[in-house]
Amino acid sequence: MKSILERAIREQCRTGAGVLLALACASGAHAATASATATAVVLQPMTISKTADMTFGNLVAGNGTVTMSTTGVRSASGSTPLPNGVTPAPAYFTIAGSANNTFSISTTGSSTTLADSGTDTMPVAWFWEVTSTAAGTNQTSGTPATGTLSSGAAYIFVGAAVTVGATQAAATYTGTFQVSVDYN
Amino acid sequence: MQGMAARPESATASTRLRRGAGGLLIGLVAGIFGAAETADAAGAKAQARATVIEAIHVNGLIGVPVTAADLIVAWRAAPGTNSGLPALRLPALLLPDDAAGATPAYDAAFARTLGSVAAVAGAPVDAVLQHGLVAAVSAITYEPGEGHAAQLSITVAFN
Repeated sequence: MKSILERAIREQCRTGAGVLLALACASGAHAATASATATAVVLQPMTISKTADMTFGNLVAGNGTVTMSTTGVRSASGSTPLPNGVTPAPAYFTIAGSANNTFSISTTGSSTTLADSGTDTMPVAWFWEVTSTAAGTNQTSGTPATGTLSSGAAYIFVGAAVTVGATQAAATYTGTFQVSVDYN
Repeated sequence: MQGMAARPESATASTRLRRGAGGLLIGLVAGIFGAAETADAAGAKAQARATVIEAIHVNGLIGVPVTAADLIVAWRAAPGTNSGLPALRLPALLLPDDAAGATPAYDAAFARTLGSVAAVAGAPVDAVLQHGLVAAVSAITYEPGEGHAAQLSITVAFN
């Protein structure tokens, strides 16, 4: 009888069928354990804030395309001298987050023109650079899509190129540069 | 400050094998945690401002003999756009002061008068502007017998 039962259990163990027989199989097996390490990294929430708006300064018809670098240096494609009564300055943003992490940059929603209070506009093309210190490096192009929080901080300096029409109306023109960042 | 604190979110995944019906040590629980993926976007905006000022108008007597009282240099810009511009500056005016005309000399009195006239004459509207820069003075010639008269060709540009 016992040999018949043992054969039945062995057969059930071999085929894996039957709950009760599985218990018998288990009780007859050696126990084994394993462990896995669980790791979670909670990053400091990223923040970005505008530190300075962009001041393009005074322009005059005939300046053509005026490019202002990420440090506020202007140049014009036209032959008419640039008025220099207002000190130009780039926009820049301060970013904070967990150190040594990279982040993505999006500028969706930024203006494509600067506009006055009426219907006059000037095309604008933005460019920017990401720095680890609060100073630009005089870039006149570049649209990096990523940056690094080297020490938990980063900065985005923004320059732009504005095209002044040959008969551009005298007025104050404004536009918005919008940036969002996110951990990679 | 238009900074916006971001919303941290974390994601975990776990896999659990059910214990056998008999409660034997077959169950294995394995929690698999990746580094928490923090969906943590933040955004901010900056305004860009550019001011287009009106082209300069020179209502001077260009290319003809003038005196300080005759010369008018007027310029203006769109109302409200002149703040921050520096005051009028004039370069040294070189005027011949003798009949021979061989030795041009700076006439400070003439320059001051010119500046004064310009400041007044440049007022087409309320936003007037006393701001500008005489960028170059050229073609000075002497008219014998006319005292401090000179033929000026000037260009001006906004500061």
